[in-house]
Amino acid sequence: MSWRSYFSWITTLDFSWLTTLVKEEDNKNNNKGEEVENDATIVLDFWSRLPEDMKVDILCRLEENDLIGSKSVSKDWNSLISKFCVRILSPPSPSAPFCGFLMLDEPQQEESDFPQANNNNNNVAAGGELEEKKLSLLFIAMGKYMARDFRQRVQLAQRIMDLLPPGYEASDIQHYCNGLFLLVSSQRNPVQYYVCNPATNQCVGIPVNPNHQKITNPPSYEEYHSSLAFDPSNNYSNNYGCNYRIVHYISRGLETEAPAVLELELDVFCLETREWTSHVVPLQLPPNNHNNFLYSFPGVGFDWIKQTVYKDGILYYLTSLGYLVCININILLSSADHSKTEVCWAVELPDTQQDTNTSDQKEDQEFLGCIGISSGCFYYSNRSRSTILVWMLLVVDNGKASRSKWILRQTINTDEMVGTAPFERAIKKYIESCWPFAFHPNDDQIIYMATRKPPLILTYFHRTKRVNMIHFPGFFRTTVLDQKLIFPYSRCLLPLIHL
Amino acid sequence: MASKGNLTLKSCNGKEFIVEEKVAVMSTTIKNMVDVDDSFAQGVIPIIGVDGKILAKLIEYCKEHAEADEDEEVKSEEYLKKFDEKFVDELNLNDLYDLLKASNYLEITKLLNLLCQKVASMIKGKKPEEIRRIFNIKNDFTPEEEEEINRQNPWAF
Repeated sequence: MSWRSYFSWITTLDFSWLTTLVKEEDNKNNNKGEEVENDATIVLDFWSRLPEDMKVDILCRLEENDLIGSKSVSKDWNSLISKFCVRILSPPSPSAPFCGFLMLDEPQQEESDFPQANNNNNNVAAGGELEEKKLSLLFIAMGKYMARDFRQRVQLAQRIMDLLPPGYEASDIQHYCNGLFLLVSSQRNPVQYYVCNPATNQCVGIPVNPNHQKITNPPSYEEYHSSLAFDPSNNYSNNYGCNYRIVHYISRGLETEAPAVLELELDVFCLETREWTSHVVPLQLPPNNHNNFLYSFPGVGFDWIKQTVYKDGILYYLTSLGYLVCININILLSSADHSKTEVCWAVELPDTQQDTNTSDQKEDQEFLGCIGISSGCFYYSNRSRSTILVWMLLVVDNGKASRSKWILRQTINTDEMVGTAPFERAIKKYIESCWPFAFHPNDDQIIYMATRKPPLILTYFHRTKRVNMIHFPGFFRTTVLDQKLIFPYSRCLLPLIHL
Repeated sequence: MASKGNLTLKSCNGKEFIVEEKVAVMSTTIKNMVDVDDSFAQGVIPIIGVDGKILAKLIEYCKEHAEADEDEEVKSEEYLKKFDEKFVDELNLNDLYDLLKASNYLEITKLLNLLCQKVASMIKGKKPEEIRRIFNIKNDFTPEEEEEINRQNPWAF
């Protein structure tokens, strides 16, 4: 109730507002179909007299287990919890607690004196061919999960591994989106997808699209790229379950030079229809006006896609080609005309590397940018010499390349990230080489950075302009953190529907 | 008439309370009224739908918190925490309901939070049957429906 309406009632000094209020509540109940018939029988007791929003507020304060267990109290409780509470407590909602990072870890090849956990050490480096990577899944707890429920949470990686169908491995995890993982086996032909929710201990097989055949086996390059589009907060249909889409992006032989218009072939699986649909989407590439691409345009494969993030109906592909490719899945599925720029467009990345020709350090030539969601906004960060820059993407009017705009939000000087305490001075030289790798999903004042040697994860606070926390994941052996393989995990409390 | 810096609040059953303005404006609703119209600061503010007993409780809470905000040394955080605990412990369900409604209505956010937390703590760790008993809720599931719901959520137990 706004104070203005209260104020106007008060000034009339008329008690008729009381009846208005009662009526309002009646209307609210009337809108909720199923509960109308119960109205007459409601005993005027504590719980049933509370307003709906207050009930939801109270229930959302419960621990996860209590909340889910309370579904069987009554139909009203079941509907409040399934409809509202689990969505409020699941990502991308800021109320969903951020658990930590799940990452696929590649055992280091040179320094074999590291203890090899899980015997995942049969890496075969084959020149030119796609390496048969044996990756293992790691969970690094963050925030309150570092202390609380620690034992339960660190087992998360093992729990996910236990959920995988027989024959699947950690390296089959293709994408993560708002609490769900997308799996695809490198062995099966045609391609078989699985969606997995570690919070509810579920793994669901997706109907196979017979067209998803692998051309060569073993593959010499990534023949397809897959991503999951899922947002529990804006879909109230289909019986309280997760409503997701899978985007299967097929690679065809392309010219080595970037063409002016790139035709993307996409197959989309939609849970509502339980069917795959095929789409061809033209992508108008921006003119190549800065010659600092780190890779030439690829002939085949998807090495150039560095990271995929889904937000508000749009899949964002961070590419090493100097631009962000955006595909609006909602418009793609609802409109027959895909030639419009509202479906697929490219946004040039803000230019960080004005003078990369001074290539005294070859290592710095790696593409080290990252994209991510923080507090409901889309961010991009990259390193340029001794500064790390953070931009926010402003998407006006749901698309239209010309109307997207980068806004520089933070400039971080890596020389000034640590204080002058003896310990900090000792680690300063390692920390200075860090690069941004993830954003805190709920707090835009935090950015996570990583260093290579020794491998550390740094929590950086924009407010204090300092590295506030340093994580030493001892088991962390990946030589280079690949954004494709790092997932900022929050639990999704919505169950998957078995297909 | 209240002296300057004091406001008079009148409950729905006619009881009047003279409180310091800093205590009354813990309620966002009252704060907005006073900010907009000076005449409220002079006269009597009717707190409609809240009876004298509940209004006294509200004022007791706001007084402690307003004083704590002003002087942290006299009323430390620890003191306030103890006060809050005692405050909610003494409430029966009827008072709890009336206070929830009143603090929601008067937008006393801190108190509303405290009360919601209290209700949540009554649910915490309880089995569905116990929750039904505490709040006098009728189980409107058929045994089959209830079993189906429990079957869907084995991961939570």
